[in-house]
Amino acid sequence: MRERVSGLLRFGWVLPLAVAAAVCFLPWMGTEVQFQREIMLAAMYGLLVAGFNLSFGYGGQLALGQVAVFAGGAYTTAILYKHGVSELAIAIVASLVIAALLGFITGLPGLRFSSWAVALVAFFLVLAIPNLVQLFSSETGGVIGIPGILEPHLFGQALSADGLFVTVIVITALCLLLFRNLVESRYGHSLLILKQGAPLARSLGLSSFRLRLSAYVLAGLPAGLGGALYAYYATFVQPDIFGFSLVTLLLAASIIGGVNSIWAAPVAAGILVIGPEQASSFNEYSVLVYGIILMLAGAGFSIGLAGVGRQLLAKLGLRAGSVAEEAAIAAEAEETPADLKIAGVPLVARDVAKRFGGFEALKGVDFEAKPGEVTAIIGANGAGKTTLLNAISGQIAADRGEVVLGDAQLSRLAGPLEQEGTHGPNRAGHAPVLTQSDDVAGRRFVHPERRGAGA
Amino acid sequence: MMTTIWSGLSTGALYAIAGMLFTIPLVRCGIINFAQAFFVVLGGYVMAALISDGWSTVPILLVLLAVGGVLGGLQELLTIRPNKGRHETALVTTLGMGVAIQGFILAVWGSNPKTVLFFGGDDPISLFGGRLAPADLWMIGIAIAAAIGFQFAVARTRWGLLGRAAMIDQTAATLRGINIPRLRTLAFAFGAAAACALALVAAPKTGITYGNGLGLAVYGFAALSIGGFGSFSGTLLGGLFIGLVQAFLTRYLSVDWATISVFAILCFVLVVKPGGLLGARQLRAV
Repeated sequence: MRERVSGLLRFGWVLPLAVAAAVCFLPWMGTEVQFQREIMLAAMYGLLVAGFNLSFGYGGQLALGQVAVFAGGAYTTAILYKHGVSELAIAIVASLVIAALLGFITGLPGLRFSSWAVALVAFFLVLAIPNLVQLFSSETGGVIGIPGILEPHLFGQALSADGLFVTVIVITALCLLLFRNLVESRYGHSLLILKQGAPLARSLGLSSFRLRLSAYVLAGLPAGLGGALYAYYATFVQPDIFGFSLVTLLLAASIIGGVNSIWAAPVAAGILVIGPEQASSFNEYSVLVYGIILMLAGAGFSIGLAGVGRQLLAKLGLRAGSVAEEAAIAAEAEETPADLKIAGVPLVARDVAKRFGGFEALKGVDFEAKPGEVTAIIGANGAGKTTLLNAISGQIAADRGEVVLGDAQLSRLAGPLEQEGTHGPNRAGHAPVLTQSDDVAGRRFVHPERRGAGA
Repeated sequence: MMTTIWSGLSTGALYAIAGMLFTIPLVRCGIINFAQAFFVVLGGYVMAALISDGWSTVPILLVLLAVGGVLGGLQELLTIRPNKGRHETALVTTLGMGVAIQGFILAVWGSNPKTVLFFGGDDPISLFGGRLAPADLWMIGIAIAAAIGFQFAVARTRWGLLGRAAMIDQTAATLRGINIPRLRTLAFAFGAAAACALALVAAPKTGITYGNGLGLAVYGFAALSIGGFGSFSGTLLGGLFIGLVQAFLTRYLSVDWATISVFAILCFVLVVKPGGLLGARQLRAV
């Protein structure tokens, strides 16, 4: 029974799609126009939140500049419309390009520095939206904005109000499905590793800057897409739509839904859209409530709705596909023949020296570790065992000498640590919670193309 | 011309003080309190309410210090201490505190701006061929005094030494008998008290609007990033520089160009010299 349910949970991604398909029929079920519009808004904010979650929940970066990317998408679409292009497909492609550019330009200065700087640059960008809009007021309409963005077309066909509704829901569902696959992939796991600490990620051969920048840019794409749809949904764009209040809504929705979730994003956005954003009596206090939600996040509530759901499933002993996965791993282990031989290569260190100030830790070490043998280094406390291992694995640079693995000159790599992490010998034990086999498995997982080599 | 310089210097001094307010908890425990700028705005509203009740300056100052101290201390106890120094969480919770203050202001005082008179008078004075308000002069003086005072306190006093120890290695500092949580609570309380009290000088200059917090936070943060992370004198220079750039571009181009230019300068400095102009390199990873 348990296995059967777990097997079904493996196909859990079908459920959100089914919900989306059902939502598509709402216009023909006699729902009110107002409710339909709220759902559309929830879907577009959901895109924004899902993108933010990739960069915050997975990448650990408070990329609130997504709001500016959202604005970029909306303005791109509106300006295209002003110039007679009402084709939604073109607007979406253009908005995605703008989103990628904005993400790259704003990600670069912040990500080099720290998470505080990312947040600062993001806030500044949001603060500067009205100024940017004003500078190009001939195109953007300045403070007044661009009104009357009506009658979108999709692939040449005019879209009715119902047609736009279905388009928004379908695009959102597809985009979220893509994102869900992305975070479940090696890439998503690499981001989670990075979040645990840059040294761990580097020693596994991952470049932390490149990962963070790519996550930042990728996370902006749904925001640009949402912005493009938003222009036709709202039928006008104005600079004050994209202000600090949208930033707090985004952050609050992310925390309510769970910062590590994708599917919960539109649900949480929907809760806020239908709840605080609409109830006029609540409006007075909505900012205060958002603030309190953000503060609660610090006390450990950042798992959100998605986290609560996962914990419930875990309590019932069910995790998506866990049983099936375990079975697959066990089967793979049994397949391994008992007389497996890996063609290893010798690791040779020649005349390796390292000095720390006045202390000479390594005085020209020579040794060879032959394949198929266990080579141990024994020495008193402070003899330089760890320094030798660090020099071999590239954690520190030796002053002199060379390390050769087979035909490869490791000491000549002398590049960033992640390069050593990919090609050189690995140093287990940098994260004491991991066993050696965990470490090897992790490397194999991150670099599938190097299966079995070097580890 | 000189009037523009004075205006730039006084605005820049405000940014510099905002940046130093961020630096206070930073040099004590490595956490930046986003809510600092919002405490300044809150102080303005409290001050306006007390003035309309007929209070005089010194009691108002004491009330502002008390309000800030209590709120800052509570903020640390309730939202920073439970998450044990995880910085990205602190980023969200301190921002949340700022948003909550803004929401509280909206709920209690509404969205209409208020104005208050400066306790030192509002008649403009002439100095070196330019005109400025007394509050402007005070602002510049406070910024310079604060920069020198804090720089000295951090570098030369036992108080500063404890903070630097706590920032460099919390575990090592704890092992040497420094009570890190208490240090942090006091830093938050002190920072928030100073921020609230700053309203006495800042509110007459900027006016009192709930939306001021974000701008002050961003520009203060820009001052400290451009000038140098963790350096009080660097923050002073960064703030004055931004203020001057802003004043001159606003005067001769437009306010929009001024904002965009400061943003561009900030990005440029972050890319080219990530530690800021006078920043210590080891603070990069904050």
